[in-house]
Amino acid sequence: MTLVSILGFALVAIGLWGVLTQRHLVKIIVGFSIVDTGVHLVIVSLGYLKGRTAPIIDHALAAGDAASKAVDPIPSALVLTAIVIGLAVTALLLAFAVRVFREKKTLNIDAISELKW
Amino acid sequence: MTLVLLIALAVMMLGAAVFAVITRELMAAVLASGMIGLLASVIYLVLAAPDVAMTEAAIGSGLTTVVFLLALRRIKQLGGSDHD
Amino acid sequence: MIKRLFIVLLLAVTVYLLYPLAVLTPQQTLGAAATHVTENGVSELGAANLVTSVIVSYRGLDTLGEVTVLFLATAGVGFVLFRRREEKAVKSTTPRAASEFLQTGALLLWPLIVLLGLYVILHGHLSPGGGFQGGVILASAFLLVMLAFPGAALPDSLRHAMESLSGLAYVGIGLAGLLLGDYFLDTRILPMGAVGQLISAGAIPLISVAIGLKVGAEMVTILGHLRKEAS
Repeated sequence: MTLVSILGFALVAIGLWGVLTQRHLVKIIVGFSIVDTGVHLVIVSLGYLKGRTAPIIDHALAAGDAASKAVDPIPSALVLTAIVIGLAVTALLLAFAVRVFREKKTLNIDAISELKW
Repeated sequence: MTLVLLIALAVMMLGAAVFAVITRELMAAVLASGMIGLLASVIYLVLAAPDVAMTEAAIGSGLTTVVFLLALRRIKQLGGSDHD
Repeated sequence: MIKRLFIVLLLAVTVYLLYPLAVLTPQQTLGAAATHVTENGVSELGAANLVTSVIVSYRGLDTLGEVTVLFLATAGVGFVLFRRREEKAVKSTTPRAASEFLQTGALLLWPLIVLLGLYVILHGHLSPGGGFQGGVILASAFLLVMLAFPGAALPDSLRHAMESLSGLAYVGIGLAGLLLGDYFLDTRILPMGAVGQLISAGAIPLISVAIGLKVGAEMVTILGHLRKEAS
C-alpha cells in the first residue's frame, strides 16, 4: 500500500544519507542494512491487494477462491530470497571491515583511501 | 485501525533509522537497526505476508544484530573504539 | 560545504525519482503470473503454501542461485578472515565463561529450538515457513550454545559434510527431475498426495529439507568464522 511504499523509500533515503555522510566503516554498513530493509518493504508493499488474505490454502482460504482472495505470492518469494542474501552480504562486509582494521588499525574511511595494502 | 497501527510503526521506524545514523555509539546504532528489522516484521504481517515476516524476524533482527556484535567485539579486542 | 550541498542534492533527486513509484495507484486484481500461480498452484504442485510452491518450483532456479550466493559469501568470509598459523591472534583477555544461568538455559533450550527449526522446515508446504526460515532457526540454536560455552563449536567435518551433502542433494533432486520427470527441478517425480497432508506435494518437502540444512550450515559457518576471529 502507499503508506508502506513511502516508508520504504524514506528508509532508503535515510540509509543512503548514512552511507554518504558517515566516516566510520561500521556505521556505513549499518546504513547499507537500512537500505536493504527499505527496499524489501517497498517490494512487499507492491504485492498487497486491499482486503485480501495471505496466500496459504487452509480453513481460511479455499483452493477455489485463491485467485480472488489471496495477496500476490510472487513478491513475497522474491523478498524471502533477498533477505537471506542481504544477511550474507552484510556478514561479508563486516568480515572485510574486521580485516581492514587488522591491517590498518583504523576504521575511518578518510584514512583508507588506497585499494591495496 | 490498521492505519493507526501502521502510522505508529512508521514513525517508530523512521525515528530508529535517523537515530541509527546520527548517534556516535556503534552499539546503539546496531541495536537500532535490529529494532528496524523487528518493526518491519510486524509491517509484513499487516501486509498479509507471514513467510516474509518470519524470515525478517529471524534474520533481520536476530542474526544481523549478532553478526554486527561479533564484528564489533573483534574490533574492540584489536584495540579499536566503539565510538565514532 | 560543496560536498554537503552535493549530498543534499543527490538525496533530493533520489526522492524525486522514486516518489511516483510510491504513489502508484494500488492494483485491484492480480497480474497474469500471480493469477496462474494462485489458480493452478494447488492442482499442479499440491502444496498448500503458495509462496513455498513459487520458491521451490516456479522459481526454483532462483533459489538454486540464492544457495550458490550464500555459499560464495560464506567462502568469502572464511577467506577474508584467514589467518596463518604463525600470526595467531594474541588474546588480550581470556574469554570469560558465561554465567551458570545462561549455560543451563542454553543446554535445556537448544534441543527445543532444533525441534522448532525442523518443524518449520518440514511443514513449509502447509503453513508459513519453509527451508529458509527453518534453517535460520536451526542456526540460532547452535549460536546459543556457541555463545554460552566459549569453546564450543560444531565439528568442522560435520559442518562441511552437511553443507556439501545438502547442496549435492538439492542439485541431485533437480537432476532426478530432469531424468524422471519433464524438466530440471520437476517436483512431480514423487506422488502428490492429498493437499494438507505432511507427505504430499511431491518432492517439495525434500527440497525444503535440503535448503533448510544448507542454509543452517552456512549460517553456523559464518557465525563460527566471525566468532573464532573474536575469541
